[in-house]
Amino acid sequence: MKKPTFKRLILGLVQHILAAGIMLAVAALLLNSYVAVNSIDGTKVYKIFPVDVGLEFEESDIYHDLFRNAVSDITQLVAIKGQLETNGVFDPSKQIDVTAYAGEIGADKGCSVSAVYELDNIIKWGRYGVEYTNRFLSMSDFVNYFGYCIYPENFKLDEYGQLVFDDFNRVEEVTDIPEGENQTGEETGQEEGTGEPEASLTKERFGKSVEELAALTDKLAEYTEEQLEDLVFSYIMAKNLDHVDVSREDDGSWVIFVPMLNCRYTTADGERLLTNYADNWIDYMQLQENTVAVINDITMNYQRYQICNEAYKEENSNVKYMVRMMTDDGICTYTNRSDLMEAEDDFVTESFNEYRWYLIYYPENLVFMGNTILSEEEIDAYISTYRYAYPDTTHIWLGVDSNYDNVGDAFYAAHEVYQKIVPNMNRIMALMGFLAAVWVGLGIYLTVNAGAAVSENGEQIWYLNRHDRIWTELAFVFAAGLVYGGLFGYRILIGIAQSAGEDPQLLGIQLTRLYRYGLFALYGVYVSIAFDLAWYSLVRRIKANNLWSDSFLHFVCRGLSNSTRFIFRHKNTIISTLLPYNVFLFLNLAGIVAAYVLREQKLYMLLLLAVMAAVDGIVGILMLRRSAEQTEITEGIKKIRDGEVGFKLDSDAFHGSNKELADAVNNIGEGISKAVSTSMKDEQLKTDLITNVSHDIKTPLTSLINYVGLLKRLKIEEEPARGYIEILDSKSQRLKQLTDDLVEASKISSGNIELKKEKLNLTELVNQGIGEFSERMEECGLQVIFEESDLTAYIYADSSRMWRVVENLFNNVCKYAMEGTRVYIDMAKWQDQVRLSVKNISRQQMHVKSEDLTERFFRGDTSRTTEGSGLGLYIAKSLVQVQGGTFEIFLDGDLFKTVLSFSEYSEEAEGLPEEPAREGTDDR
Amino acid sequence: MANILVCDDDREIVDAIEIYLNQDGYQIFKAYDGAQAMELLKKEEIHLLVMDVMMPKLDGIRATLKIREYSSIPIIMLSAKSEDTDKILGLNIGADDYITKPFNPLELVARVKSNLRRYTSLGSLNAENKSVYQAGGLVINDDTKQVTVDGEPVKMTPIEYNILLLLMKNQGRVFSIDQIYESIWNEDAIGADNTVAVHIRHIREKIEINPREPRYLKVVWGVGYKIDKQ
Repeated sequence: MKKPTFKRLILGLVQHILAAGIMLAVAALLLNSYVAVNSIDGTKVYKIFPVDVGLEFEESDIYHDLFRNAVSDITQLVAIKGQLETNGVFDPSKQIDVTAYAGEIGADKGCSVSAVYELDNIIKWGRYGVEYTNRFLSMSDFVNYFGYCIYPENFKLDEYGQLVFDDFNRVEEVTDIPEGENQTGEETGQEEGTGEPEASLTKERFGKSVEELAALTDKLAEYTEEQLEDLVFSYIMAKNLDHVDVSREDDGSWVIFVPMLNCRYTTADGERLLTNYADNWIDYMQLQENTVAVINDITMNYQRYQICNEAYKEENSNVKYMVRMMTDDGICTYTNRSDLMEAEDDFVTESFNEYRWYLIYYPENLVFMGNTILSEEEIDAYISTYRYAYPDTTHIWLGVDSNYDNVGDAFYAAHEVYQKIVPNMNRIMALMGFLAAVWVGLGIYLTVNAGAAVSENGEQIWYLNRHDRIWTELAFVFAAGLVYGGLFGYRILIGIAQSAGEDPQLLGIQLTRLYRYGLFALYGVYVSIAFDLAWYSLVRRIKANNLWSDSFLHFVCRGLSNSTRFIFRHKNTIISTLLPYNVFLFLNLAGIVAAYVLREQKLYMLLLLAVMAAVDGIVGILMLRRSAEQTEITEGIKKIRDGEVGFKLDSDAFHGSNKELADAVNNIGEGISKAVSTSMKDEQLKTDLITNVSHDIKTPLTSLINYVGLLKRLKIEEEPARGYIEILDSKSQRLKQLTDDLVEASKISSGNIELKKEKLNLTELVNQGIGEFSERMEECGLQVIFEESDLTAYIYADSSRMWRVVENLFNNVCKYAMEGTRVYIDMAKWQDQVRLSVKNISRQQMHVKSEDLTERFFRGDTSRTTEGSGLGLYIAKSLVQVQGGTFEIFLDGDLFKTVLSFSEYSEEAEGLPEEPAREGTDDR
Repeated sequence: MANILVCDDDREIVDAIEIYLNQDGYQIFKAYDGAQAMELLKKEEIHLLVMDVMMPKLDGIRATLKIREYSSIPIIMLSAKSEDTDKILGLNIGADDYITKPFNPLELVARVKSNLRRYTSLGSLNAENKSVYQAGGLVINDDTKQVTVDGEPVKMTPIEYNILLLLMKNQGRVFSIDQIYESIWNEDAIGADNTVAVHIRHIREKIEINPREPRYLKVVWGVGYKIDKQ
């Protein structure tokens, strides 16, 4: 079979390279067609492919995205500017009211106190980061942290007349508060309370009448200090203060955990501690949260401000904006068109109308002008995020200078990339298409030719590779694995494509440009190879039709059907073996269960166990007997096989099916014995016939020869009598020869000869033969040439039979070789074979086939006039074959060549059993 | 002259043998079965018996066995059975020679002569002489360089004589062509080829009655040549 493996390999390789090329083209498209832009929220990446192909830059989605981005940036920038700037310049000493600011950004939870910081301090604080000190306070310490508050003014009665905490209406510094309560660096914040005179209960205060206060005072006296502190604590906790946690100690007392802000900077009033602005936990915690929220917000805004303010400066950006609003402080204008700073609104509008793309928005008048895709709702959404910064009087103008005079901004960069990529995109796509077409073409060619091979006789056949022979299901699982791998790789590639313009990492490796292209190419090769492996294998399987026959399911089905068939074929065996076996098992199990059930009644249980043991024993003995009988039968069969045909099994000693088997074996033995004796008798008859006939011929022949001899001695001179006597002489001699040859030939052909094999030197034998025949050869004018007369070539054969062979060959040569020619005898050893060839030139033209020459009674001269029985070569060939050699005759024109070949003598050959030379029945 | 009893159930064969042996001057007695032969042996003074194996009444084998009980005269067996086993059987039970039918009458005559000579004249052989070697009727005297077969001298070439002497000195041992060549020519046996074989055949033709079935110088095919102890 000729498989086009090499060709397929090359074509496959080409396919893989093409796939790599396609993927490289894809990579070139995906990895180059992006624009990375710095926005207020960090770097943003915009894709050109496959979104904007064939559009003008200003019409493209990228452009719109950039514009949208600019709007978003500028709205934020303006809002931040309002926070951080005074008169258009960043003002570090700007006063920030924490609670008011928190209210603007929606972080305030209703704090009733506030603190004012300088902007500079807040930004520094934000950069440094806020820190807390964790305080663990006992209940009493916690409640009284800001001052003693168990005053009737602070309590009220609920509808059930129970005392509840109302509010921190009166908080006063208590002198006996231990010094340790105030942490290091903290000053007592309630000093203003200490100097005040003790509030008397005789006045109406905090919406509570004197009577009420008196009642509350009485009620307070009923409660212990702890109970009252509990009430205060419950009130504080009911306000859901973040971060305040409570845990119970082992002795049952409460411990309160409070994270307190480390005040890094003083407020604008010069106060260091926020606790000084609050007189209870609720106010303090809210103030603290507000401060942190403000710090975080301003820090973030400041970072954005730094980025955006620079990016959208007049000389840096192609985006032009102007925002003008009426505030309490008058008209406030933010713009990067300084020339229009003082201009009238209408003039500004006109100026912005000149831009290719522009947007003008007066929310108060519902004026919305513009030619971008940006809608009013969208810009409203942007502004609404900073509603506090945009009063309704705001006027917004936005436009993009399409000349892109300012190098380096997002629009300029995007425009550059766009101009570079878009014109080439079609070329890359065309290249991709071409490569893909070639790939598909190759794929179709390979699919059509998959599995096709040319067999030795030129026919087309379908072949399967080794891996096409694994179970189909396994192959499918493998293919599924390949598909999964493909999808996985696809996801990676998508990730890479999406992160174009960034510096992504994969498995900790920085993906440089080269890596990314490499991964794309690798993926292409992977897909191509996976396709190669899975698809062509499938095609080959379908073509060779082994999809089903090599599947696991088929394997299972076949196994099932085979076992079913086995069961049906041997159902008798199964019934006779498996069924009793199962009954036996079941009975044993039942016995054991019964014994267990009867474990209370010892007598019955023992009886049952004894019966079970007895039955099992009997079964065991029966099985043993059966097995022993089978062994005996097997041995009997072996004896018969080994020639003891008269062997008989005593069938009475067997039981059941073994008895049948034994009878059958006996019958077979008898049959064989009969057949053997008949055949032996036949053989005997045949041999007897041959010897008797030859004997009966030989006796009259003896007389014939003797009397012919006598006639010759009479010296009869007159012709033709003398001639007749000669004829009689030669024919009687020939008759003698014929009889001898006939006997010999029949004996060989009936196998009635006995071989005495021994190690003998074939060269020696040939030399001896040449010596024996030397004179006869000379008489016939033949020259014998035996070059290898000193080669030693031992064979394992019967020497006298071998001599007979050589004698016959030489006789043949003498009879039929042309006078005056040479007879070549060659001897050669070749691959453990000894070959002897005798070549001579025939005297007569031979019209025969070489195989006919070794037929019985065949002679080269069809007239059969010459001497010889016609059995010479037949006898020689038979004798050679019977000794394990080969005898061949070649005719080439007048060249007559006989070749004998024997295996060379080796020590092992002698040890081998004799050839099936049957014992001659010569013992008459 | 010697008296010879010829016994065969085929009268023509007996008659023919009679003619041949008469011509050489032997007195012939004829019998046609084993029993007749036994009677004649008792009545007449017989010097040699030629007997067929397969005969009515008493066959050749049994007759030989009986004769051997009281007589040691040479017995030549004639038989159509030509197997080696037949010959071995015949010779083992006491026959001196075994000739298979159909035979060459001249060979029979030669064998008769040979057997008679040995029976009558060879008892006087001087076996003590160390330079005389004997195997059956074959005697070689290294002093006189004379070879006799059944008392008849045989002419030999020096090489033939040396080969025969070698084999006679080492009776029972088989010599290969190379060995013979090396010990006779005193040369390495390169190119010895078939000269030895030719000489051996010549020797056989001189000392054997039927060179194809040699009694003394035997060919061990594929191995060599030997003279058996007799």
